[in-house]
Amino acid sequence: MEPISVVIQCFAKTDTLKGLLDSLLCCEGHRDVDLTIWQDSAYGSRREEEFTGAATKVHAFVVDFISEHGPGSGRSITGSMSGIWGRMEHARLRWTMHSASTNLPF
Amino acid sequence: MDHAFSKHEFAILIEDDILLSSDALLWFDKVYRLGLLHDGRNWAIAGQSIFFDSRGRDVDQDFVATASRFALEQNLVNKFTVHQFVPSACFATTRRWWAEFRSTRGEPRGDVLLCNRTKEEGWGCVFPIVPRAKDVGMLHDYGFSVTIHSKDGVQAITTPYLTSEDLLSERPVRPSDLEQFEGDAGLLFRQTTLLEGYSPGKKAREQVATAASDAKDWGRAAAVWNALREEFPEEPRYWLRAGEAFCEARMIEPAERLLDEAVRLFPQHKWLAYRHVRVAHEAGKWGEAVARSERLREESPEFWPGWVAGVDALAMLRRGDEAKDLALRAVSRFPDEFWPNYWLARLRADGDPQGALHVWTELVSRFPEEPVAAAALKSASGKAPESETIFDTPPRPLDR
Repeated sequence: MEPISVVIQCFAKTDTLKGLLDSLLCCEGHRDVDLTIWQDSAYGSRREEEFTGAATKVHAFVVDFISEHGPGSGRSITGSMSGIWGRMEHARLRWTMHSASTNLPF
Repeated sequence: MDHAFSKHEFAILIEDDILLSSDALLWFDKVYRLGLLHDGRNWAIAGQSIFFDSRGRDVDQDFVATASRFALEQNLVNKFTVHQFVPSACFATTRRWWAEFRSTRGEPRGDVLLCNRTKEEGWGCVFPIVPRAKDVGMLHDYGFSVTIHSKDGVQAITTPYLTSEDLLSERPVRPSDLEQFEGDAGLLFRQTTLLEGYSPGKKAREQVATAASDAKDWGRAAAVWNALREEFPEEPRYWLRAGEAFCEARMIEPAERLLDEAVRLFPQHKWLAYRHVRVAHEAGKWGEAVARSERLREESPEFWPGWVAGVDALAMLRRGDEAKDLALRAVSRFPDEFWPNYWLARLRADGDPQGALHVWTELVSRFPEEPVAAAALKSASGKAPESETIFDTPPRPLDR
């Protein structure tokens, strides 16, 4: 399979994002994924105060995830993640992260 | 997506509440390689499916096991359909088509606008029969639907009970295997998503339909009853229940067409005639409802719903005196039936706000088991009498 571009759009749901990324890492062909994670920003949204904390957690989770699974991370992997790391270490995953204020009507 | 297409010809967009089957990337890649986005008819490839979706209902494991066997027997994991909408949460497209619809998708409520545009302009989206992705975030506290509608207000829940993940151990997907589903997609939808099952007898399908009606799942009830009606048109009960479900689902035009035909086929069926009156109500054609109720009373004077329907229609036309007169005659003819008494009480209460409490108290004393009477009494006891008039939407008897 040739490199395939995957764009994940997230916002404030750390638990479901984790589920998605875990399922992506279980996909056949995931080593050929060029991954872009886009996070909509809570800033400037109508319910900014309610979502800022959750969105910050998502951002931190993504940063950790990239550190943990991205190329050249060199991180030591905990036991539960070692299986994934075993598949990932030769992967061609490339990481890009963006955030933006979309002013969605939350 | 713009960033992705700056480097790639083909990209997959996934929202953060999706779970992928382990063959999801293969699915997108293989469909893309089949050239289905290059033939000028399809805009995108979906990861989700309209089939094998319980829509939030409980599905027992026996049903799931049967569904799995059925999917394997029919090789459904390697089949696809084309529909005229692009799902919001998980789809893939090409740089060319993204340039075509990116501005629509990027607008507020762009996912809905894109679906509208896809249909209006006759574009397609390739869907798997067996889901490669499922949405798990519709009822999430931070989900868009919940924050807009509240948890109780979220209606369009998708809950696949079978994905390709469940079938892969038995039959892995092969690129050359992918082919368009040529079977009866409507039947497959009824079997897998309306949960009719795979070899349902008439009785089993009636049970499914009855359960949907009892649960007030009117869209589903309409589909199942209507399918029964089409297959067994000699059964007036199926016409009646389908008509009721269409009305309750606010699908008034198909309800009118169905009931117009039903009363021609079964001119002696009183409940169908009553439902024919009611659909005129629902369509706002109260003059027609009055006329139909008069015919019903002439042909079946001992059938009290014809009288009640006439009172109701006259009230909607604000012909209060005529409504009251008809209600009096109905009560005189059917003194022990609840609904004629209810309507007379209602008209009296509305005409005499000070006496409303007494009127409803008397009705409740005569019909203590009727929740509609109890609710009316409660309302009269607890709020200003002028806040309710005879022209408010009243409760109505069910046609059975």
